[in-house]
Parts: sequence; C-alpha cells; structure tokens
Amino acid sequence: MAEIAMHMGRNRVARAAQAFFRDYLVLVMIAALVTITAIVEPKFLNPRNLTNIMRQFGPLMMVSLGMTFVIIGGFIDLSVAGIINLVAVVTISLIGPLGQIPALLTGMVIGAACGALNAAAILTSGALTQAEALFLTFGMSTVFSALALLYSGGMTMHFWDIKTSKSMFESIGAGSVGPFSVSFVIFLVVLLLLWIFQTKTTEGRAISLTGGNKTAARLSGIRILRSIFVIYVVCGLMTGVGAIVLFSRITTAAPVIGAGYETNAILSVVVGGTTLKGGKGSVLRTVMGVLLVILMSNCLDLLGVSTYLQVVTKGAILILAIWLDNRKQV
Amino acid sequence: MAGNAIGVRVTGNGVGARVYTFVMRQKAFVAIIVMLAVMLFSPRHFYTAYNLLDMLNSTSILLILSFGVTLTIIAGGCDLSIGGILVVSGILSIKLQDVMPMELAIAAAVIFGVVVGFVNGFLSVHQKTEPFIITLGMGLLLTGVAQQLTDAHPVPAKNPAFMMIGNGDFHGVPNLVMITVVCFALAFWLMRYTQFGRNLYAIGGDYEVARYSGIPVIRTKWIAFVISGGAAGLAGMLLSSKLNTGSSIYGDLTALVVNCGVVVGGTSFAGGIGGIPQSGLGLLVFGMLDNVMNMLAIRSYYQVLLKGLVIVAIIWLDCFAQKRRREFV
Amino acid sequence: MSDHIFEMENISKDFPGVRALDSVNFRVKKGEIHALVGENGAGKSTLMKVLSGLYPYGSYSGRIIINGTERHFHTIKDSERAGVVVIYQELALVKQLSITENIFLGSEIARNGVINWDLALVEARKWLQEVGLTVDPMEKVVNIGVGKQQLVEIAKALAKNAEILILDEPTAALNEEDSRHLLNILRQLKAKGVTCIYISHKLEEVMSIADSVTVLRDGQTVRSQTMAENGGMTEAKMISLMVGRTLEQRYPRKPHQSGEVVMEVRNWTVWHPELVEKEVIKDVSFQIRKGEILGIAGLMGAGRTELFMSLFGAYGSRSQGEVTIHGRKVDIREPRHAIQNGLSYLSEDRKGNGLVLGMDILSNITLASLRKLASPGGGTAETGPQLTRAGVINILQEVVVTNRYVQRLAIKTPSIEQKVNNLSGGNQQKVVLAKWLLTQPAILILDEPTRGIDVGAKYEIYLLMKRIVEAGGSIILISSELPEVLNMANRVLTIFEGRVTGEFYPEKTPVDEIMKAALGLEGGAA
Repeated sequence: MAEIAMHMGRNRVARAAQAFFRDYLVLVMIAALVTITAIVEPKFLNPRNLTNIMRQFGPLMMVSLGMTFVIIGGFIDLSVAGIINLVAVVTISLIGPLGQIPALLTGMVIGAACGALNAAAILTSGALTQAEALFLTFGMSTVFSALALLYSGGMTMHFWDIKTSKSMFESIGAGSVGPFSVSFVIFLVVLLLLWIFQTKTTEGRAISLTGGNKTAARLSGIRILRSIFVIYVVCGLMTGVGAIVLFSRITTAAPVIGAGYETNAILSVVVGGTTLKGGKGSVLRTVMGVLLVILMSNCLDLLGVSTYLQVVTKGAILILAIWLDNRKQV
Repeated sequence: MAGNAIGVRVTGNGVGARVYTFVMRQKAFVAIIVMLAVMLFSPRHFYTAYNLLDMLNSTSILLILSFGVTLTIIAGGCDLSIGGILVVSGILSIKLQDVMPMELAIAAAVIFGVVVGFVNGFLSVHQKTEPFIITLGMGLLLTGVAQQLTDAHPVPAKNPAFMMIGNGDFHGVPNLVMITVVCFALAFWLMRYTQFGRNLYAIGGDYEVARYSGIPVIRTKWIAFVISGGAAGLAGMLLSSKLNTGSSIYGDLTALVVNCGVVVGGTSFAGGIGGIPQSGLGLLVFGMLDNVMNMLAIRSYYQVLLKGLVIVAIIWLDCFAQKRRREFV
Repeated sequence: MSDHIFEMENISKDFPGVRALDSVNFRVKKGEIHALVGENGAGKSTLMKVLSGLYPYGSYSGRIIINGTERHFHTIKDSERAGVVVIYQELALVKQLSITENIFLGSEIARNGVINWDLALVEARKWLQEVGLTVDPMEKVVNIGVGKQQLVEIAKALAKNAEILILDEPTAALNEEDSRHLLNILRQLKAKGVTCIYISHKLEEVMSIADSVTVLRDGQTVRSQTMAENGGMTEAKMISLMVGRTLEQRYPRKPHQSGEVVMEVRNWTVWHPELVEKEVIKDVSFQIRKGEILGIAGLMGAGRTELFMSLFGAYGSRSQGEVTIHGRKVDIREPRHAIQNGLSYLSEDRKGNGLVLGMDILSNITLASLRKLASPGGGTAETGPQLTRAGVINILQEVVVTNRYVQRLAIKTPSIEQKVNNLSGGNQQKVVLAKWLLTQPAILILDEPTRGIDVGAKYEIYLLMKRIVEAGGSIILISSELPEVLNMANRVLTIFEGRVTGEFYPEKTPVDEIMKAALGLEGGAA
C-alpha cells in the first residue's frame, strides 16, 4: 500500500516536472545558456556588460510591448520594421527645423498614424484572421520602408549634422537619472501605463476578449472593430517611441535601421509566454521575453558566435517556441 | 439593399456587378492588359523580342518558385520559407562543388530544399502549427544560415559549365526558359491529372469533406510542402548559376512577391481554387511590373514603393473578395 | 432472416452523461424504402453513424449484420466497401470543384495515381443520367442549385455501388419540385434493387414513399412495421409514437403570465447571406409580453435561430422590418444595440458564440456587462456600485458580483478563476446564462439552453427560468425538444420554412396539432 502511494507520489512529481519543462522549456534553455556563459566567460558578470544589457532594453522593449497588444488581440503586425525606418528618418530630420519637442511628437504621431493605416487596411478589407493580417502588414512594411527611403533619399542622418540642440534626444540615448539610464526610466513609465491599460481598463479587457473569441465577444456587445483599431495604433505608437529611443542611442538614423525588429519583437512576445493564438498574455511576460532575447544575444556575442548564427538561433527558437506553444493549446 | 455586417454586397446582374466579378476573378489578366496598354505609349523598346524574352528569362526563377508554392496555397497553407531555401541552396550548389562533382552538388542543393520542405510539412501539417508563421521563421533561420555560409560576401562560382546552365541557350531559347516550361508542364500535369493534385484541391476546399471522403489529408498536404521546398531548391541552384554567384541577399522580398503573385493569378489564400497556369500569369504580372517600371525610368525607390503598394492592394482585394463569401457570425 | 439486407441488433451507445441508443433493433428488408423517424435527439443520426462506421466498431455494443454476415466497421471506407453509403444533411461536396470531380472524390478512376478524366467524364454522365440530372458534368458544384447538388450526392453514392443508401433529411433544403423529383429517383432506384433508409421529419413524404417505418424515441425503438400493418400507419400515429406522453415530473409548475407587451416585431424579413434574393425569414410578426415564456418550436433549419439572431443584430443589414421595445421603435444593427435595448441572446453554440474558452469564469460572466455599467448611473440595486468608471474596471466589484451569480446559479467550481473550458457542459451553460442575467435583460432569448446537459442541471435551469419571469422578465425559448417547449412555455409559436405557421397555448391545444404546424402541415391556429 505504502509502495503504491510512494510510487504515485513520485509519479506526480515526475509529471509536474515534465509539465514545468514543457511550459518553460525556452526559459530553461536560456537560463542554461546564461549559466554556461557566466562560467565560460566571466566578463559576462562585469558591471559594464550588465549596464550595456540594461541599455539595450529600450527599442526592442517598446516595440515588443506594442506587439503584445496586437498578439493578445489575435492578430500580428509585421510592419514594425518599416514604421521604425520611417519614424526614425523623419523625426531626426525635423529636430533642426521644428525643434526637439515638436519633432518628438511628430515622430510619435507618425507611428500611430502608420498603425492606423494598418488597421484601416485590415478592417476595410474584412480580413479577420491572423494570416491575412500577416500578409497585409508585411506589405505595409514594404510601403513604409519605401517611404523612408524616398524621404531620406537613401541617406543616413547623424546627430552631428544637426546644428540646433538635440540634448533631449541625447539624454534619451545616453543620459542617466540617478543610477538608472533615462531610457530605463522611460521604460518603467511606459510599462506602468500599458499594464494599467491592459489589466484595468474596459478596452484592455475588450482586447483580450476579442482575441479569445471574436464571435462571442461581438455577440456580447464588445466593439471588436474598435479593439482591432486600438491594438494597431498602440503598436504603431510604441514602435514610434522605440524608433526614437533607437536613433537617440546610436545617434544616427538610416532608412534601414529597423531591419529585423519584427521577428525579434514576435520572438520576445512568444518566448515571454504570450500565445500567438490570442486572448491571453501580458506585458509583464513580454518584458521577461525581451530580457531573455537580449540576454541570449549578449551571451552569444561574448561566446564569439557570429551575428549570422545568432539569426539562425533566433529563427530556430522562434519555430521551437511556436511549435511548443501550439502543442500546449491542443 | 441587403448587406452584411462588415461590408458591401454586390447584388443583381447589372453591368457594375459583372465588371466587378470579372476583375476580381481575372486580376492578373486585367493587370497585364493595363500594363501592355501603358507600354504602347512608351518611347522605349518594350515590344521587342529581345525585351520580351528577357522578361520571361528574368521571371523564370520566380515562376519555378511559384509552381511549388501554388501547391501549398491550394491545399490551404502557404510557404514563406522559399526565399531562405532559395539562397541557401544556391550557395550550397556552388560551395559543394569544392568537394564533389558539379552534378552531385546540384542534386544536393535540390535535396536540401526537399528536406526543408519536409520539416515545414511536419510542423505545419502533422503538428498543425500555423504554416505562415512556421515557414516565416524557417525562412528567417535559413537567411541567417546563408549569411553565415557566405560571411555576407557573395561566393563566386568557379566552374564555367555551371554557369552555362543558367545562362546558356539552345538554338536561341534560353535554358532557363526551357527548364521553366518543363517545370510548368510537370506541375500542371500533377495538379490536373493525378489524384494527388485533385486531393490537394479537395483539402483546400473543405478539409473535413476531404477527410470524410477517405483522402489521406495529412500525407497529401505534407507532400505539397516537400514539393514546394524542392522547387525552391531547384530555383536557388538555377539562380546561382545564372548570376554565377551564391549570395544571401535575394531572399527577403522574394517570398512575399511569389506568394502574392500566386494570389494575383487567382489562387486565393483560402485554398481550393486556382492552378498552375493562373499562378504563372500572376507571377508574370510582377515580372512585367519590374520590366515596365524600368522602361518607364521610374526611380528605384519609387519602384519599391509601387511594388509595396501593389502587394498591399492585391492582398486587400483578395481579403475583400473572401468577405463576400464569408459572413461574420 | 434472409430477406433482410441488414440488421442492427441491440445497439447501444453512450456519450458522457447520456445514453443515446438503448438496445435499438433495426431491421431493413432488401430493396425496400424504410423510413426512420423520431424527434431531434431521438437517436436517428447516431444510429446511422454507427451503421456507417463513423462510430467505429468498439464504440458501441450490439451487432451489425449485413447480408447474413456480422460486420465490424472501423472506418467509413469499410462500410462503403460493404455497400453502405450515407448522404448527410449537410452536403459533403467541395463547392469549388466540378460535378465530376465531386462524384469521384476520394475514389477517382485512376491507375497508379493518374486520373483518367476521359473515363471519369463518361462514367459521370452515366450516373447523372441515373439520377435524372441534365447538367454539364464539368460545371462547378457551387453554380448549380441545392436541389441538383443533392442529386449529385446521390450520383456520388451510386458511383460507389451503394446497395444500402442512407439519406438524412434529403429534402430539407429542397423546394416542392425538387423534392418530388428526388422521391421519383428513389423509386427508380428501388426498382433497381437499391435499399433506401429515409430519415425525415416530413411525414407526408414518408407516407408517400416508404414501405416500412421505424420510430425512435429517446434512443429506443418504439415501433417498427410496414406501412400496411396494424391497420395502416398514418401521420397522426407516427406523431404520437414520436412524441409519446410528455408529461412527467421533469418540469417545475408553469408560472402564470402576461402583463403588457414588451416587444413587438412586424414584417420581419431576413435574407440569405449568399443567395441574395432568397428569404430565410419571411414577413414574420409577433409579440411578447412581460412575465411570459414564449416557446418557439420548429424543425432544425426552419429559421428559428436566424429569426432571433437577426433581431439581436447579429446579421447587420441583412434584415428588414419593424421592432418596437417598450413602445419605442428601435433600430438594431449590432448586438451592442440589442443589449442596450434590453435584449440578451444565449446562443445555441455556447463554445463558439457564448464563451471565451481560454478565460476564467470571472471574465466570462462580466463579458457582456462592462460597457453597460460604464455609462453614468449604470449601477443598479442588482449589481451594487458600477463595475467600471471612466473606462476603468473595478475588479473588486467584479469579483463580488461574479461570486453572487456563481452562488445563485449553483455553478460548481473550486474558484472563479477556473478556466471555463474545464467545466462540465451544464456548468458552462450556467456561466453563459449568468453572463446574460448580469446584463439585466428585459427579454432573454434562450436558444437550445438545455442541449447536452444532464437531467439535474436541466431542472435547475428550468427553475431559473421560472424565477426570471416571475420577477417580471420575459423569455423566448427556442428548443427542438418539444416536451421542453410544451412544459415551459405559456405560448408557443411554430416556425416552418421561415414563416410563423401557428400560435398555440399548450394547455389548450393537443400536442399533435402543434407538431403538425411545426412540420408545416395543415391546421394550426392563428
């Protein structure tokens, strides 16, 4: 009798462990990677390296946070790279003529406007599935990138080209407030706002309900069309903010500066635990996801892995994460 | 007039309705006519045998890609990894010549595509994961592989015989055109005259009905992905041969352009309709668009913009057409 | 017996919580047209799914004997090889493919995988001729009418060399002419030795075509005889066998009803989403009163759901007519408007339309109320303080309110944070019900509220319904279970083919008349 009980107990522990690994496989993998790196390459724990990691938070974090809403809503946005390109080249070029604050605001407005265009394309065509949204936003990305190319004439603009003050942007890129970097502070503020939006407002709730079951949501009186509009505008806006942080950090804006951000953002969201199927997820999880992705890049850099192989790894992890995520749901 | 929740309906048999239906069904045809008409007024030499043949030649790679992709789209999926397969197999076909005879290297390149297609099929069909995102991830992964293999420098081919494959001709007809025609015939026969092809239509048209009719749905759809991968492998090898280098830069827009071209031609993402000739026509629209834009001396950045707008417009139209048939709730 | 082409002996089949078939015996003679009748849920489809192998050997108990040999079917193909072909109510055709392709779908004329289209075309013409269809075999299925599609299905079955043809509601979607044509085809097939099992609600068709009939009720065989035996079968006899005696102690005592009219519908018409000129609901008018349970009876496909979904705003502008609520004319284009005007709709498909499965009970119950209570002065004595203010959700209040409903409806769950897809069907239904009750509707529309729910939970829901109307609400009860409608409703409307065919008071009218009206037969008051 006791043997059976012990056996069952062991089984239950085994099954729980199995479930844990299945759910958090990616997390475990990255934890393993970090540990290995710390051992093999002690430079990892160097404070300068850690600060570096913290600084990288900015752009990818903003975009990923915005992307979170789109994915919770049951859609996807592949146009973020194009939006970054466009916002970056336009904003940087306006610092001189318009002044810092107007330029900043314009950049954010452009981001939001791009998001609105995405939503318009999706809503007017009646596209209600993730696949259709994927292709539409993929196409929009090309359009936005082309606009960036046209606007900038293919030229990269640098901070040193700007004759007037750019102090605000410089502080966004490299400044500090006490022990924290300015971009970190911005991140905290944004996170708080978004978290409140997601968990405490009606619209935030409406978005996850739309993602969970569009038909049920509509039949229960939720305005799903409005939710779809909101998720894309939020994503566009956040992407705009991310673009600003990005070019502030590297002090230049080239019309191809956004390349790769869409996959990194989706990867962060999925790795963080938000499911691509929509309806569930959280900005907090995405924060963890971004952290993991950045850590992974950092570790791989220190271990001497080439940039290209990192791309390969990210693609592989994306596939793995989606595959596992899919199995979980079924 | 009766309408549905999200859009307009076209009712009746008026002229407006007929024109609308025709344009939606024959998007490619209409687009080609429009372009042909525009080019009538162009001062450049569009209507020359040289130009037309050149246009066909340059579209050949995209056409071969489209034949494979069409299979997956008809079956209700899609394949966005073709860009990645294209570049990696192209690079492999050149690099492997250092360690094996040219024929084997070529075969290896195609087999690589087949293997990738197999994996795509496994994840998309057997594991029932969304094909668009899985193949997208795969394409990304392979682009990274390509960059790694070449260290971002194009790899030149050393074997002149290899170069002849993509650049030679047979009595004036370019090799590539002939290969494309053969692929076209093969794919066409497969879809029209075999059970396999017919089953793909059924699976895309109504998965459950197909299943209940005894069709081996998983196996059939899986094979569609394998074929798509193989076609991409072949196309990659041919592209490398034509350009005489293996490079990683061509993948990016390719997947999108090919998938869109297939849709333009009349194969919808919803699956179940369309076919090889239609896809060919659709891709020709894009091939022609490039040629026309060059002829009209449209500046390159505007070309990119125009292409992007065309892609958005096409998908938008496809979704819009689907809306008529699908009601919400 | 040697003249039986097949026998099903003592077939029993269970689903979780319900016994669908209870020792059913079903014997059919070779070459006859044998009708299988019974109410919705009586077990007809289940029985045929057992026969066709959709429910494979092992998932039921009992024996299937075909031509004297016992058979074990593991797949549909197995039964097809034995000559059994089913034609389902929802046509199994791929609309975008041609007739020829559909006829041979899955069993193409091919060698080594290569289809011989020429031969296929010839064969297709042959089979089309058998069923009297003169269409181009290369025409796409989507372009021919439903009547012809049905015939293509039969051609498909014949091409499989069907000896036993099972037709499930074959004329449900057909007009008069097509129906007659179909019946003639069946007679011709009979002359050629094909045995037909004819499942249908259209009793006059059964009278005109069947040689024998078997009546099922509650998963049991109540009668099986030739049309001529026992003094001759009539429609009336079939109806009473189908319905049986309905009054058991399964329902609470009916509440007394009716105050003033709360909602009036006039000249309501709804069009088909794809066949633009076709009317699904034709010029319907009715009223509902305060404190009343209005039952809606009719066959599946008669249009009951379409009628009320359209009134609820789910179909956008596909509908037309006049609706008055509390004396005011309303224009409802979206479910949102309907909810604002005091309507609630508990739909048939709770998983697809009623619940967000991945979310918890809390979110699902408050799903429809966030908006409504966000408007100023939205808090009521019912719910206490508002759930939201200026767009921000008062989570504490949400929890309080949810718990109240969980208690009131006796929803069995360890916590309100339990995901709804882990609940039993009955509890899920209660969650959806709670969701709608929270919106404090004046008029609650219930579409098949007790489908798939065990007897105990059913009773609880009936009690709830009673309490709702006693408190002054109105309920529209759509149900395919006639006993349920008769026992719960004060007044019953019967719908047939998109029209109201009768208005009855169950206390005063014999069941048979109501049934007849639901079946579109003559009679019926109003």
